[in-house]
Amino acid sequence: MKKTRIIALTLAILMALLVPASVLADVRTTADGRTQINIGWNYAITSMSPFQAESPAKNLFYATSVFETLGRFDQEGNVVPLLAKEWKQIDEDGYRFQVTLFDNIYDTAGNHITADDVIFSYEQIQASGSLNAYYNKVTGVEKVDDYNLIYNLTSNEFGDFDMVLNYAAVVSKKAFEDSGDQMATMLTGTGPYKVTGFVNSATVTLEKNEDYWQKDDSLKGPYAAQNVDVIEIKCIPENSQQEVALETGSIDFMFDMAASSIQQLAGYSNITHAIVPGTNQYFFYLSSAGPLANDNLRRAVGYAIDKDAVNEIAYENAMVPCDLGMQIFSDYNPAWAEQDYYGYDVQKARELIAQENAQGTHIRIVATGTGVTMDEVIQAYLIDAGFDAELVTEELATYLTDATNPEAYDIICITPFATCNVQMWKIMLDRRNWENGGTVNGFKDDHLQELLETAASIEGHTPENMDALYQYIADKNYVYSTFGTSVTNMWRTDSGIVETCSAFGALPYLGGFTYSWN
Amino acid sequence: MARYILRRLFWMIPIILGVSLLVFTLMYFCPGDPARIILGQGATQAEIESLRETMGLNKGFFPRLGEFLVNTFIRFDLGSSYISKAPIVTEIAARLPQTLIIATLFMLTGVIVGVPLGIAAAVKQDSIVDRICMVIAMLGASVPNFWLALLLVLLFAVNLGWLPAMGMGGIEYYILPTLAGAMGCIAVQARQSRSSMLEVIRSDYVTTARSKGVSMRNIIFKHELPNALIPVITCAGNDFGNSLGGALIIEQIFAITGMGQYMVQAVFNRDYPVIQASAIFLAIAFSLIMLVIDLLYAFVDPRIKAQYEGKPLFKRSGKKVTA
Amino acid sequence: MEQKQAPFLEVKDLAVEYSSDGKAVHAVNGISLTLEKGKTIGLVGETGAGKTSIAKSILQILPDRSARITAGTVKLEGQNLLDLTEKDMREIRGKRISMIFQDPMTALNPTMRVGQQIAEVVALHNSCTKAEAEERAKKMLEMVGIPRDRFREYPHQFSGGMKQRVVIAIALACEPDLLLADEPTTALDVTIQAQVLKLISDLKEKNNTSMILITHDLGVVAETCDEVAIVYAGQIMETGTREQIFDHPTHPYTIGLFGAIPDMNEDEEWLHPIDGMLPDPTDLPPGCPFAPRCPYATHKCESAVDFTMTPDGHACRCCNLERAEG
Repeated sequence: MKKTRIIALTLAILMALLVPASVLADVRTTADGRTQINIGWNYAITSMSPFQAESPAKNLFYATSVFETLGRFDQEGNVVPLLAKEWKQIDEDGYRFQVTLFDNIYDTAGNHITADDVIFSYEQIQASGSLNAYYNKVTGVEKVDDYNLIYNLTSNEFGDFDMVLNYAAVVSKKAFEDSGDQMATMLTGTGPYKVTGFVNSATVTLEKNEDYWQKDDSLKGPYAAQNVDVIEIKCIPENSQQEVALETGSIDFMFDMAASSIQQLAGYSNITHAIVPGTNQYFFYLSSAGPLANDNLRRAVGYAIDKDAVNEIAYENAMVPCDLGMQIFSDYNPAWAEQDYYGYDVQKARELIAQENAQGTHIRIVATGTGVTMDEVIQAYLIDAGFDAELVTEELATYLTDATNPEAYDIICITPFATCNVQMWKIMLDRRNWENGGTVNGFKDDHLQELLETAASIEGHTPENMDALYQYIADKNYVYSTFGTSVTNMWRTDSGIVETCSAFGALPYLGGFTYSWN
Repeated sequence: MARYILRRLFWMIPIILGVSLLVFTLMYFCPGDPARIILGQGATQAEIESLRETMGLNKGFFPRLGEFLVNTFIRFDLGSSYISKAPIVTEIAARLPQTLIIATLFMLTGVIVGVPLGIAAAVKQDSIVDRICMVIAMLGASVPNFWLALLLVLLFAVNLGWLPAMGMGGIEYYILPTLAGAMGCIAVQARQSRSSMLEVIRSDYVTTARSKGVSMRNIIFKHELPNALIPVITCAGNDFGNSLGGALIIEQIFAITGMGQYMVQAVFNRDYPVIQASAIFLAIAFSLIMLVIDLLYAFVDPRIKAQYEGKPLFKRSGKKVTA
Repeated sequence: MEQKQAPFLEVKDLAVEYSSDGKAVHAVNGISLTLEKGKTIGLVGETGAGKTSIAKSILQILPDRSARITAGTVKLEGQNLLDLTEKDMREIRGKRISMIFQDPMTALNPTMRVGQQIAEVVALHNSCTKAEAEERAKKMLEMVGIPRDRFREYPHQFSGGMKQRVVIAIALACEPDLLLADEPTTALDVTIQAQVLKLISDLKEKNNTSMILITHDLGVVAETCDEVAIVYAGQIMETGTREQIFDHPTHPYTIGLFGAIPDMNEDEEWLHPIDGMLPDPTDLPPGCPFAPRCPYATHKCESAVDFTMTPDGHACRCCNLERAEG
């Protein structure tokens, strides 16, 4: 009896000690003295497959370079070499590119990466159907020799091959087949970090790859830096729990928080934040199937909305104000920032409406999810200008279907992703993309098409052509741009993080952060 | 009894088939396109069409239904998620136990805490004990569980630091989720057991037991409780069903890897294979738990046991002394 | 002459009150009766007269929350039961005094085996092993005419008559000195009634058990009781031996009761009920409770009426005995 009492007491004391200890143990150094940081990711990671659909899950492994791609965008929006040493256009029109790989690429299992693996990876992507957005311009990949391949494209326009380079994930065929489950639970990649632990939807552990194949430091960009030994990632989908985790110190850095968290955590002197611009842009599609088929009414919509106020009210100023183009893209013309792109002018909006005798025209705004607040603000501005604006909310899947059907909305907000301005505009306005033979919102405009195709071609991608295109789109206002997306990151200053750094598109290069121990 | 169990298990088959058919049909006719969601916003028409072809989404209702039924019930191949490409069976095998554990914890806590509360309230009717118990029950029923969960996290994890705020692991990770989620079950069980206990207390056989000189304690445990338990078991069964749903919110807040998050995310993403497979597994789990509950009834109430076994309710003695 | 021994059971001025919706229901208002060992007294009256309350008060198994014994004594062989603690009372219940209930369908615990319910009372009052208690229970089953191999069955497997037999077995298992039988055959049909009454009689004979038999059936009283007390609105209106009451009913209520029994030999068109209804127990009339319905009531009936002796020597609570012969 006495013995069991002693045991019970000891256990109770141990438990009492362990519980707080387990909370504290989440910080800083590992048991064997290596440096570590703890990261929160706002999505439950269920699979490590490099060929899964684009998702915040896959983004983690892309950002930490667990798997690598042929090339990688730098901060100016130009592609620099990663797995591919160099590439060049080998035909006149720009449909064929030859890519040369480095000859010393090894993955963490010791497999040598050659052209066969690149072709294998390409086939995997095609089969999974998930990367069609970037790969549907590739018709085939031919092997020249072990380190050279030729890509055949259906499109020779500006920025298309860059996408292929940046998103062509490459893993060893042997490693993929060895994994048995399409690398869902173990990703063997070539990058500077490797996965050493994975608990589905809960945690991922990354450790520095000591045998990283790229030995030449001058060729390593921030995506290949290895400034910390161990990265521990926790999946925390719930916003308030993200804040709690930062407060209690169970994570050091949280990626992509809600803008409201800045306010919530303002009282903590050891928590700071940064807003990183992304590569999605907020566009309002104005429908050709309703009253907004009228040019002046579309312009009225543009003048009626105060973009800065919307940013402030709906996003606490976290979004990046922009005009029709985004400044981070390589083909941005600084002159555009000086011009007036539908600055808030409600008088002008009312005049335009009066001109068309359209007071009280009924406008249907369709919103979803986190965009509802923004659309409510817009609704208020439109009503103020003289429209009869109605707001309808839908869930995401229905919303996406409606976005391609101009009959279903008058105004709908979409945030396409692109890596240069012309690409962004093409997604929406190039009639080769849309069944109806016009823009996504149903406008058939030959002049627009002409300007688009000219500016999109590689030789035609000049500042003059881009400017002409810009002015025309702005004037017609088929699609109205408000701001660029951004990501709010927050971290603890006492965690060792001195400065963060991000990829082009806001994903954090965790290995590339500057730490206090570097 | 064995025949009863076999019969119930046999009846599960048409139920599962019915559930699968229903879910498949609902998803088929529900607007929304998984290809679009996979490709994200700004995808072009051609990309969407091409992906739909690859995924086989353009086939008609009956071909797809046939494929689904054959794959699921004959080949036992549940496929992979459209989004993550992870095989569904492994996902569910990892997640379903978590959700079942949480739901069971809620239900058991409801019984273990709620029933004694209700019985105490009934035995000491209208006293201070009764009032306190019923106030607790009312609070438990009114407080939304996500609000309570966040409050608990604030108090115990952030301010006091006694318990972890989220995640999975040892017992300490289950304490806050259970506290938050089981309040509703406790409330229901307390009220139910109070009222069924009150009914039982007034019954004639309790008077008979008193007239025999049985002590109060034995009256409660041997005569009142077994009879008062039947509605409690019914409530527990209902609670389990509700908990399966309530577990979703708790899982989201506490970052527990269960079925709830998986399924809801799948519905938003129109990830059909995941939705269908999850529905089937949940239906199976639920049917089995209900079977256990019904067997518990038989264990507690011999009249129900006789019913299951199909015996006549009473038999006339064949001897000379009749009636 | 020796000092008269204290009667086996003596109830004096017993009063019981129920509280319902804040009002007091006077169910029993000053009942006194005595009973000798081995004798049977029948308590006769309409439904709602308070008969069951009297029996339950003797055992003190009234519903705790709503009922109170407000006055009186209940002496069993000289000892006032109302003075005893609950613990002491529990010793007496089932062993020295036991009760048979009116509704056999609900009197047994549906989730406990029948034999177990009998064995329970045996084991409570005798220090014996489980097996011994079971054996005694099986013997009791046989005694009441149920095959002993039905020991392990549940109440729902028995018919109403057999359930009542089980209740009797429970009541008599410890050979009590006093048996309270509350309308034991009311819920049973006539053929079974006779059997059950005979059974009770036989068992009573064996152990010289006293019995209080509560009934509204004068026929049953005629068969089984030594003495009779007529109860109305919680008071005894008339009491005496069976012969005295049946041959010389004196109280107008008693006369009315006998008169209400239809005469099989006459060709009658209408039954002869007693005019009027039982008084509202929350608002009893002062004085004689029967006065509002009594054809012979006078102004004297408005104040409390005491017992007077009838010519043949039995007590009758009426102040107007001169108005009629028996």
